[in-house]
Formats: sequence, C-alpha cells, structure tokens
Amino acid sequence: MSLFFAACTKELSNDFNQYTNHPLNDTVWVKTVANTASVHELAQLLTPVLFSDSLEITRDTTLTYGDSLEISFTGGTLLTSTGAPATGKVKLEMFRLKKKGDYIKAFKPTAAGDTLMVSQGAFFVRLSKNGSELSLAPGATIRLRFADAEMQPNTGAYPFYGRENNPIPALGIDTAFTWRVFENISIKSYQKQVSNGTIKGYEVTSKYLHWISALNPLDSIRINSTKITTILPLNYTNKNTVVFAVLADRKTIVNLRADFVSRSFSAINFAAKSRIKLISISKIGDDLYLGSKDILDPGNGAIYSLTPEKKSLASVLQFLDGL
Amino acid sequence: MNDNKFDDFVNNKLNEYAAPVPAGLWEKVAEGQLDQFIGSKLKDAEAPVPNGLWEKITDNQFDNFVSDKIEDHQAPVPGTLWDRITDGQFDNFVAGKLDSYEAPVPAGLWDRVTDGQFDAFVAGKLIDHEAPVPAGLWEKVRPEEDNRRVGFFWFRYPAAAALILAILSAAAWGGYMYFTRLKTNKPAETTQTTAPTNSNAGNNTPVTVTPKPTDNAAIVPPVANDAKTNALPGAEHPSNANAIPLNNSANISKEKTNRASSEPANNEKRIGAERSSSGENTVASPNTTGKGTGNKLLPPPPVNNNDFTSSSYDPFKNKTVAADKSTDQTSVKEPDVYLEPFQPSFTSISTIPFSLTKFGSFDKQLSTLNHTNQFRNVIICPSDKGGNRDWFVELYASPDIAMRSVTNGTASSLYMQKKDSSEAMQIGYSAGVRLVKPITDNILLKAGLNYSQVNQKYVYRTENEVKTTTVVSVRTIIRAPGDTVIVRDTSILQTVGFKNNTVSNRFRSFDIPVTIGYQFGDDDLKFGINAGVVLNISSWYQGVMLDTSLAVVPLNKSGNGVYKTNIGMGLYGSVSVVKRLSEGMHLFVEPYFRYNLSDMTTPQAGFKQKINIGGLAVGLRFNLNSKY
Repeated sequence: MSLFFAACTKELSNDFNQYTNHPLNDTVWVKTVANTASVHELAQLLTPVLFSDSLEITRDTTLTYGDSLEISFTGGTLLTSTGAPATGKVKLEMFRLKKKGDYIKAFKPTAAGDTLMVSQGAFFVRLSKNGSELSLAPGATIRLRFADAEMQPNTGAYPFYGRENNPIPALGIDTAFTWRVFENISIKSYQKQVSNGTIKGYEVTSKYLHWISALNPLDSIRINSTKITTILPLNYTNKNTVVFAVLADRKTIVNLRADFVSRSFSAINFAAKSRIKLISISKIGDDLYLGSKDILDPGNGAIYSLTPEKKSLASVLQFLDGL
Repeated sequence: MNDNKFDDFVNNKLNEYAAPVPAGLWEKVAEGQLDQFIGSKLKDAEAPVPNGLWEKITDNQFDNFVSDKIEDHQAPVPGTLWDRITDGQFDNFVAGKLDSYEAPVPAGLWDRVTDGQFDAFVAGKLIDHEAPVPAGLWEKVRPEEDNRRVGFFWFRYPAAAALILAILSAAAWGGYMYFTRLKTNKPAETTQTTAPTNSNAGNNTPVTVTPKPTDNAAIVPPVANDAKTNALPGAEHPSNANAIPLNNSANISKEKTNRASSEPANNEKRIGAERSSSGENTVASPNTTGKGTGNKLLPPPPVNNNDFTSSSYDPFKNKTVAADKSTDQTSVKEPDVYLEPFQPSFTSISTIPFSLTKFGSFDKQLSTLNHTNQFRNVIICPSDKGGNRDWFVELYASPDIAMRSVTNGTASSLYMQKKDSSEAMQIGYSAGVRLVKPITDNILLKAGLNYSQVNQKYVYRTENEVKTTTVVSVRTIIRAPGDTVIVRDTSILQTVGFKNNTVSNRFRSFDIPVTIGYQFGDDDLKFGINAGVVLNISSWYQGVMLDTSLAVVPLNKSGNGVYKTNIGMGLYGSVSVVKRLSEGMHLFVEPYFRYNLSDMTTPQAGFKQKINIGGLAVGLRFNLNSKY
C-alpha cells in the first residue's frame, strides 16, 4: 500500500541554499566602514564626468564658459609637486554642482558638520600638468564668477571650501569631507549684461583648489529643528547604503549618518514643517537599489522606513537629475 | 497259422452271429475295462459314416455331446501351434462363432463401469491408428495460415491493430451482454418454440420437451451452436433443431430413457444409441442402422427429455424408417465411421471418417457388431471441459518500477552527463480494467484498457535565486537625548543563493493490453502465466527537461518534440495467483513485466530512451455470469 502512496505522491520541492559570501546575504553592520565596502563603489558610479580644458599658466588667464561661469588664474601662481612654478600649458578639470542631484552624485552634502546649509553653488577645480596635480602658491587665489537665471544672490552667503580627507580617497566617498568657510574672505555678488538681459551671480575668491562653494547656513531655523531617522530592511547596511535628505524648497542636501547601534541612518537640525525627500542608494553586489520617501512635516524624532528597490544605474541617475 | 489268419477266420464265421451275454457277466466287467478294451481295439479303426446319419444329427446334439465330454478336459497345445495360427484366423473364428450371440449384461455391470474405462479402452486401440485425411479437409484448415498472416498485421500497423482490437473488444462485450441478456431473460421461450416446431415437422410422436429451468440456465449455449449442430456430417436433424441447443441434444443418451428414473441428469454425457423396438437395451451400431442411410451421427434428443422412449423419440423417423426397423447385419457397404467429438465447438471438419474394415484387429474388436455383442454401446463423450462460457472483468492497480535505458545519439557528453545526474526513476503506478474470456478452463484471453504513469524525479540547480523572508527587526533609536524608543519594523529580508529544484516528471500513457494466459489449480487457488502485447494508444508528458543549451525547460504535453506521443507496441508477460473470495469474485496478484519494443524518443532527439516497466498488479476479478 505504501508503494501506491509513493507512486501517487506529487513531489515538488526546492531546496534553497544560501550563498555564504554573497553581499545580499550580508546583513552585518560595522562600526567603521572599510574603503572596500560596496558603498564606496557608488561614488565611482555616480560621480559626474569632469569638464576639462587647458590654459597657459605663465600669464593671467580668464576662462569663460557661456554667460554663467568665469574662472580666472593669475600667472605664475601654480606650483608643481616639487614647489617649482609651473609653466606652459596645464590641464584644467572642473565640475559645477548645479542641481540637488549633483551634490548627491558627488557625495557633497550642503552641511558643515551638523549645520545644514543652502547651497548657492559649488565647484570642483583641479589643475595638472603632465599628470601631476598642481597647487596654488601660498597667498595666490583663483576667482570664480557664477550665475544663472534662477539665482537671487543674497548677502547671507559665505564662501566655503571643501575639507577633504588626507589623503584623498582615490576611489570612493570621502567620508571626512565637510565644508569649511573661508576666513577673511567675503563673497561678492555680481551681475553681467547678456544679450537678453542681465544675469546675477556670485564672485568667490578662493585660496584653495578643489571644492569651492557659496553656502547659506540655516541657523535661523535651527530653533525648531528635529531629527530624522531612517530605517531600512536588514539587507541594507552601512556597508552598502547611503541615505540623503533633500529639502524640497531649498538646495539643501543632507547626508544621514549611519548609526551602528541602532542600525539606522539619521540627521539632525531639520526644520519642522519642512518638506523633505528621503533618498537611499545602495549597491549590493552588482545591483543598485534606490529608495525614496517624501516627508511632509516631520514630527519630533520622526522615524521613517524606506524600502529600496533594485534599479539600474540609468534609472538612479535619472532620478537624481530630477531632484 | 498266425494270429491274423485265425482272427480273420473267426470274424468271417461269426460275422453275422450274435450271442447273448451271460447273466452277471457285465457286472463282472469293471468300469472302464470294456472301454479300454474297445478303445484299444478301435484306436486305429476308421468306419464310414452311414448315409443320412449326419443329417439326423443336429449341430446342437453333436456339439452338446462333445462339449459335455470334453467340458473339463484339458489338453496341452502342441508346440508351434499358436505360431501357426494367425491373429486374424483366431479372431475370425471367434467372431464367426459369436456372430449372432447376444448376452444380457449382468445386473449392476454398467454401474461398475466408470466413465474413463471405455474411453481408455478405445483410446488404447486407436492410439496408433492412422486414417487418411478426407479430400478437402486441408483446404478447410488453410484459413489458419491467413490468420497467422493477420498476426503480423498487428506488428506492422499497431495503431490500426489497436483500433481493431478496440472494436473487437467492444463487439465482444456487446455480444456478451446481448447473449447474457438473451439467456437470462428468455428461458421460457425455448420451451414454447420447441413444441410447435416438432408438430410442424410432421412428427407423429412429438418430443415432449420439459426443460429444467436450472439446466437451461446452465447449459443453454449461444445460438451459434445451432449452426454447429447443422454442420454435423450427414446428420438430419428434426426441424426443431434450431430451437434445441446442441449441447443438450448431444449430451442426452437415449438409453438414459430406461434409467432416467434412477440415474442423475449427468448421464447426459452418453451418446444416444438406437433402441430396439422391444424396448430392450439392445444397441444397434451405426453399421446395423446404417443400411441405406449411411453412418450418420445420431441426432440429438430434445432438451432435458427425461421421458425418452423409442416411441416418443425417433430422430431418423423422416429419413430412415426402413433402416431403423432393420436389425439385420446385411450391409455390403463399408461406410465410414465418424468419431463424434460431441463438444460444443464440434464442426464437420473435426470429424475424421475411416473404415473399420481396413484394420483387421479393429474389425474384430471394434466392429460395431462385435462390440455391441460384447458390450453395451456406451460411448462416453469427452467432457465439456473445453468450453467455458464465463466472462470476467478484472479491475486492478499496480505500483510500477520503471527501468530506463538511455543511449546517446547526437547529444554531447555534457548533456548526457547532466541528464543522467538530474534524472532518477521513481515508483509509478498503473491501473486498468480487463475483460477476461476463458477459452477453456485453463486458457484465458484478456483485453482491456490500461493507464500507466511513470514518475521520474528531476533535480536541477538554479543560481542566484532570491528568497524573501518577512522579518521583524527591533531597533533602539535615540530620537533625542533622553528620548529612546524601540522600533519594531516588519520588513522583507532577501537572501540569495541557489536552489536544488525537484520536479516530478510524469510519463503517462493509455494502452490496450491483449494477453492470453494459462492457469491451473483448484477452484480456490489458481496459478497462471500470461503473455501478450501492449498497444499504446497515446502518451503524454509533464515536467521539465534539458534543452540543447543545457537549460531546464518545461516539458509540454506533446514531449517537446523529443518524446513520442505514441510509443508503439510492447510485450507483456506475467504470472498470476488467483484466490477465490466468493463465488463470483476473485482476488488476484499478478507480477508482470512490460518490455517496450521501440524507443519513446523521436528520431530528432539527441538520445534514445526506452522505459520498461515491472509491476505488481493487485486486483479483483468478477464473474459476470455469477448470480451471486
């Protein structure tokens, strides 16, 4: 009789065996994220392509890119790695953080520490000769003029430079990056007559290369600030995920820091009554995951859960460009 | 003068002289003294028999005189005497002496004669007998060759054969149902039909047919038997033959008439013999009655006629009146004698005529005359064991073990390796129904419909499978200094890995098994062996299989072009044990093996695969004729 039962039993089964070293199965949080963590691979995927040009550095040079950007160099102020003045033509690499998504792509939130700021504009400038990066001579400066049609320069903006890790990670996210305000340097507003009218912008003089920006601190609204905490499914850890908060009505991009203890991402000093979009970007294995949530009027100590979905790189970039 | 001269002288002188014997002289002569004297004197004397003397002496007088004298005499047979006497001489002598001798059968003799004795006697005499085959007989047998060729038809066109078999099975079933209904619903009609037909035939002594209901129910054969009755060589049946089943007529002995009151109905086995007008149990042989009519088989008496008398039943009345009245052995013809099979399947073909006169010893011992003079002409029919009118239906189910054989064709070795490692045969099952027709008590013909399912476990591995699990995570979150909350979040945990998928492949088929079997044993327990063919009607599939790119793809019903939808014919062999559970129901266990003759794969497939099946069928057999 058992043979009959054996003959009639419908056997349909699957035996699942979890890969031991697959990133998706790694749900472990770490106190310190290693440089090899997949989250750093996001920087390589999302960082925009730099614009490059060349100039004769032995004389004063101003490079104009349309009506919205001018960059001026003083001749003989660039030094090689040996400290000798650079001569001849040098290579200029530059990138302008214009949209909110650009700050995320470059992993350069508009915050100095826990101080949230509104960006008026930010740039990355790099000069090199024969593959060797050049630096500004002590006391030398470069001048940036930038403007666009939507910009309404205000007097509350400050010039900032980006403080990077030393050495700068060749690949990946500079987790030590923060904005520092230039001491004794003021930002100027300027306007330029163009064919169809007048555009207004800022003029920033910087004594450092690399990251330069004009930011407005949000000190005025700190009184009613609140903390936002985001939790994600167990697959998303601080090794593979970054979370940003983007204010809807301001160009303020905040990187929520990973908290090992609570397995969550959080940031403080958000103004109450703000409209915020929470964005998580994860790279697990070869796959990208994107999560987002719009927050309206975050309460005190609000905790939000994100559920990322697998997305292609193009989809992620498109999403970021649409912010 | 010598003695002779003196004797001659005295004899001449005293030739006419008679002298009285002195008184008391004879008493003085001792008994035997004179005889010895005379005997010694006349020992060598010869005297002529006077004329007319022999005519005065009747045969009986002399024979009685001699037989009385030598009744107790025993004399040694001279040497070589027996050698000089041929068998035929002696037989002819005895036969001539006993030509017209009739002796009554001692009381109770028939009761002491068992059925098999006479059969054994006849069989012993005919064991080495050879008879010429009548002209045209072989031509009648020739159709068997055609049948043999038809047998190949099954091999050449299995699909057509399956259809034909299905039709035949349906026809058999329909026929069975028809005759069963006819038999069970119309037992009285036989009686009603018989009587008027006898009168229509002009029979002045109509047969009184009084069928016993029980006999009718058990013996009434199919209508086809009537045709066989008509086919008996030379037999002239009453016009009511069509209404009287052959079986009954053949089984009833006329001599049973005299003993019907004391003998049970199973005397039906004896051949009817001619009854003398005096009503004695004198049996006329075919030779005797055959004058002018030929040696025709005695026609069958009516069904269950327990009141047979010579006046009430005369099967030759219309044709052989004169012959029936004659008891003289005056036949100058040497007619053929037919051995009468007396079985339901009897036909004229199976009757082999031969002449008694062609065999000397047979002429002596088995000539009807001699035989009837020495024995009552009681011929025991062969028993009716050869015919079986039962029908059975079998319902069964079986766990099956499938044995697969795979050979590589054009497939790669990697394909075959992966296929082999992925597939494993498992227990399957079969179930079906069979109609069983016993040809005899030992030989069974079966046909039916069988469903079988071969199970195959197919295991394959798929990579990067994502498994989702709903989990509840608990987190302790500090919202603000001194404000700690515990958050329980329900979320989906995804894990990735590989899966070992197990799929059951199903190879299903409908088949028509046609088998013939031989069984033996008693009523309670029978053993049998069966063999036959299995004709596939249709096969279909379900599961997965490897395609040429080594990917696992679903296996559709038509076999993906790799497996056939008709796997052709197979051979079937089994042994069976049948246990009776009740009068109409048997339990049987039948280990069997099915060998498929062709591959189940198409010619386009890269490999050849064949599956043979062994199983243990367990089922019930129901007797459709059973009243229980």
